[in-house]
Amino acid sequence: MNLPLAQIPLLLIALVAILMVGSTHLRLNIWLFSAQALLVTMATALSAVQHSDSHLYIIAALLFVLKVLAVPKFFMYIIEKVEVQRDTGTVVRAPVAMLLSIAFLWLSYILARQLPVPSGDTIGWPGATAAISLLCTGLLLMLTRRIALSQIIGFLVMENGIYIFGLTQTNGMPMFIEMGILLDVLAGVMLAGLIAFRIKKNFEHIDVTMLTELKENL
Amino acid sequence: MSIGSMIIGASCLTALVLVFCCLLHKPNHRIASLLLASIGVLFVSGALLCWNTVTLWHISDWISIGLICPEFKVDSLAAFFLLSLGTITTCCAVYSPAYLHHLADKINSRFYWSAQFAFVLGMAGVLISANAVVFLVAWEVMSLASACLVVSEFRQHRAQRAAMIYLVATRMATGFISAGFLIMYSICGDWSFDSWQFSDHHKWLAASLLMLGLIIKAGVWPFHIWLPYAHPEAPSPVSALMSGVMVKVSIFALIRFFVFGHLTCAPLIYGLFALACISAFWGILFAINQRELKRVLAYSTVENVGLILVGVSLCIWANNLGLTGIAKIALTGALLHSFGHGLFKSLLFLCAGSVDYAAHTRDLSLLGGLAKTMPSTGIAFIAGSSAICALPPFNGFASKWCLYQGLLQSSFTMPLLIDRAITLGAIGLLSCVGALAIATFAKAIAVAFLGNARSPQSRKAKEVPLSMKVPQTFLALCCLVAGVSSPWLAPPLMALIPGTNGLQPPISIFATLPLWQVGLALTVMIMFFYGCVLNKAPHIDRTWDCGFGSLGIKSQVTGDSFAQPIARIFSPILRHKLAIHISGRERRHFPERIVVEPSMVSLLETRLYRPAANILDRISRMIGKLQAGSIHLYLLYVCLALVLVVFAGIFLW
Repeated sequence: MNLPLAQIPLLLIALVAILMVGSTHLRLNIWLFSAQALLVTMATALSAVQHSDSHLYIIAALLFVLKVLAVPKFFMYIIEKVEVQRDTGTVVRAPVAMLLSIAFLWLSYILARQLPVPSGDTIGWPGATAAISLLCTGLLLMLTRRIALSQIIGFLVMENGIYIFGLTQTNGMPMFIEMGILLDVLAGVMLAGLIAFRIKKNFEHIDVTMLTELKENL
Repeated sequence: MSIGSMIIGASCLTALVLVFCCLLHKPNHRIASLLLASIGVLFVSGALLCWNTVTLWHISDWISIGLICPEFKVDSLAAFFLLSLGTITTCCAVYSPAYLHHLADKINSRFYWSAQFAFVLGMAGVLISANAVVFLVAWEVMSLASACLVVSEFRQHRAQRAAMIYLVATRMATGFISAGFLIMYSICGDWSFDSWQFSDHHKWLAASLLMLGLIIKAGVWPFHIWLPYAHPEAPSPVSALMSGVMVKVSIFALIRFFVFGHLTCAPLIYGLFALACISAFWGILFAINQRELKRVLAYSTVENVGLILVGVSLCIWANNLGLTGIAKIALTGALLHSFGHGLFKSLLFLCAGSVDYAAHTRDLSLLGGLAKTMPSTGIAFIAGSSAICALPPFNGFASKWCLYQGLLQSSFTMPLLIDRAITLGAIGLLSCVGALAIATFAKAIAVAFLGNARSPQSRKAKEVPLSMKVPQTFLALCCLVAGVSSPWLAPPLMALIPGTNGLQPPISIFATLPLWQVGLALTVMIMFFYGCVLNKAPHIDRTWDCGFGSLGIKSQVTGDSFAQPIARIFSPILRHKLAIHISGRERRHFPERIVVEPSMVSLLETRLYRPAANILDRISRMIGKLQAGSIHLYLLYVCLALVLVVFAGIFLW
């Protein structure tokens, strides 16, 4: 199978996401997220070269600054503050979850082959596969982890998936929408980080499985 | 734009301003009542000036609620109901300050007056709205303000419960009405009431939803449950307004939509007629067996709403058959009765408030002999009761006369035999209702106002202050004047439905009286009465006491014993039971202690609403288990909902 160069980062992104599901070290996860964001940036830049589209360059630059540098840096800072190292996971263990996410990759490959190829491209399935598998993997990460930070990372993985879908299947969204989404993500991460601080301060932990007593008792 | 509608609009605006003023400052009772009374007077004058003209006006487009600009319309029908609203508002406003004085430590006056202004404003808004959006907004203001007023004595647990029951009823009513409006909008493509006609058959769903919502609010059987809870708990001027006007506002909407919108769906008309008959009968049957004065009046409202709706549904029915004459008579009867019921029911509620004010209780088993200590209130109550029992010089007579005329005429002229049978049956039922109404109010008068006081607090009762006496007397006079002048009131109401009087043979509703013979007979009767009864010096005798010794206060007829024969006849419906417990050493001949306790169960509440509420509660608990508190579960819910929506979008589109 000979894939064009532009499609290879997309599949690598999906593989990195699977590695994230498999790792229980928060620091490693953040490094992996940073690497994933770097791959996303590369995919964007390659797409910009391919379509010779100037605004994709700007978005790639923004992605690099925000997702590759700023967000992981902020996460590292939070981890220092709340003093957690590992996320042991809940419901299913990390290896099982990893196997599940590989199954999701296979499923999304099947789904992606059903999708119509976007105009102007010869093959569209790598982008769609990566996008759908990132959605599933991000959700899996959110559902199977117990430390609140993992939920934020899972959310960001899902967001990456949506971004990649927009990039590869629709030949890029308008720049203002992309910038707006980036701003939303940044604000969301900031807020979630702050809330993680507060939870740590009030409950002495950020384990979401132990936050069940917050519900109203009937 | 006519002067009348300008007056109405201006007074609505003033009321709006006053609501905010009341919210900001602690209002003075006297000033607030003066302002409310003047708004009432303005409504009356505006309504009189607007009579027989149709005025449409809309506030400029840039204050639009959502999609459309607020439009208002005052026609003769709205003016007629505004007249009723204005009169009763004025009386309640004059009555309020003195009445509130004895509740001073129980209610919050700022809260009370702002809700009162909003309530009156909401009712006026519903009456003059010209499109559905304005209608709904005003309807909500009216419903929520009245719910606030029901819970005026907010510390009382009973008032809270009553307000909850009332809120459930109003929420359901608003829900059904909104659904009906949306369907009508999707069919007609217009929010304006003028373009809404219900004559097509595919509008039956919208018509039935609207009708359901409106009759819940009107308190028709089986939805009347909220009335006997909400009316006794609200302060008396509020119950007077709620029972006298608010219930009529839904009847106004029924007339506006279905009489002028030409409803043709036969099952709905028959259904409305049947519900009206049942609620007339059911209401009065429960009224007679109540022990609390205001509950009696509340159930009697259910009865009267039934009577009015008999007229409304007969009007729609006859209009569909082309019998314009009958339709006119029936609508006249319904309108006169809504106006009249507004007057005498608010009068009776105000009198009940005066009794509460003077004797600090409304329990009939503790009252008695108030006619001697409170003559003015007593006379006003008797006048109101005579009016509600349709005794001739008062206004109840004219409206019931019209209703009976309509039913009798249709039992002769309706083409189908089954229709004739139904109308004849309705006549029978309504006469039974009339007799029961007389019994009910005979009981209320006899137990509360005649005889001797049954408790120390009712013995100490004093006449109410002047500012409470005046509105009562005024309303009693209104009842009398409206009754005497009904031959002049009826023809303009007949003209509301276009078309000639198509009765065969042509019959006018009012028989012409041979005046001089009646005058002569009256003179002779008055002279005879004066000569034989009044001329004698009264002389006091002891009542025969069966040899038991002097008769005490307890040997008077109580309300329960008065109502007991009727309750026994209808005991299958009322679930009336008499628990008699005789004890003592030789209980056969010389019992020491006899305890008689009548009990009555409302079938609807125990068999229908309580189980329904229980089921709802159980389902809510089951749904509540979904909220487990786990973030992972919530994430899963979000994801599943998303997938569901995507799949629904794929398969349903």
